[in-house]
Amino acid sequence: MNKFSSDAFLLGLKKAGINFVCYLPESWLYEVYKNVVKDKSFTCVPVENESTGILLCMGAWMGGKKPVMIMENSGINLACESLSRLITLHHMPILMLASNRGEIGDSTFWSQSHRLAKDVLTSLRIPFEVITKAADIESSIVRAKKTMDGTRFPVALFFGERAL
Amino acid sequence: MMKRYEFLKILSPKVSKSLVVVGGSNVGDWISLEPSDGTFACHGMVTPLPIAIGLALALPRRRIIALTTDGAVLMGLGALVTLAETRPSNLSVIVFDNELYEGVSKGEIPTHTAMGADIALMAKGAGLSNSVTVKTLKEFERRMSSVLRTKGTSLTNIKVDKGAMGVRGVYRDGTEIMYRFVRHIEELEKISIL
Repeated sequence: MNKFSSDAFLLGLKKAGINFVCYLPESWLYEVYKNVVKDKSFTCVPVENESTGILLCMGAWMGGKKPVMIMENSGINLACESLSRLITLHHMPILMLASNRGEIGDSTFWSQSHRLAKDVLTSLRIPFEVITKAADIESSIVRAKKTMDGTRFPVALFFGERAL
Repeated sequence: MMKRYEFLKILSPKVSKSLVVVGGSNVGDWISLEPSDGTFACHGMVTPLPIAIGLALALPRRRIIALTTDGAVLMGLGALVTLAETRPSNLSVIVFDNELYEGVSKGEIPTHTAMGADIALMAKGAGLSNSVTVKTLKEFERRMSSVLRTKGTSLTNIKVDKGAMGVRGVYRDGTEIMYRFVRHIEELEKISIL
């Protein structure tokens, strides 16, 4: 990831008031993890799977934090059960940032299943966008925050390799 | 073995202004004793422990109590690692281990704790040294008097007999539970969340 993009993530998170980060590392967003862990304005929690992370974010949100779960998009598939409870039962606005593995141009065979994450979100009626330009990273996070504030609904942003 | 309700009767007068995250078959019994908005009743087996960790990290000066079950912990065993890694200074986890999936099939289907799995030992293996199993009311009372007054994370696994004694089910839906709980926290902590 280039420096402009990694800085844009950090700036976007700060502008959106995010102060609690759960993460499970993956390759494309590696620089983001490195930056947020170093930055003392975030409480950072490494989790062992994304389902735990989403539930942990729910608890943090109820305690007044503004949480984000940063992960590979396959984590959405794994966390489907927690997400369904987040949406259908409790209506909590959790931000999710994920790589867009399996996009056109991604030649890894294993990432093709990751594309299903968008179908999972569609089924759950969770709004999402794919960000393909570095210039849109910061503003997309701020816009996601606006939607969450207005709707108390989670939002997911997928970041394509071209944006990174 | 004693039923869960007998242990909860001991816990109830000790929670004071703590926040409680409760799940599984514990919900009805706990709400019978403590019908407070300071309780977040979870739907779903795996949910209480990770939610309680997040809440404890967000509110480090408030005692958080998680009331979960053997089935719930077994379904989300990985959360024990995150519990041990984060080790909030204000979190008491209580596992009611009846060795059964009590909420289904009349409580006749055993969980893996009936086959030798040891939750307190697994928590220790995850890195949480303050983790024990208790079997009697006296042991539990002594344990709670200690852990609820001490900084740190603890896990108390209680071997209980099956059977609920309080109300069955939850009388509020998930959205109402969330709003009541968060409004309660806003008032308690003098902060704005919603």
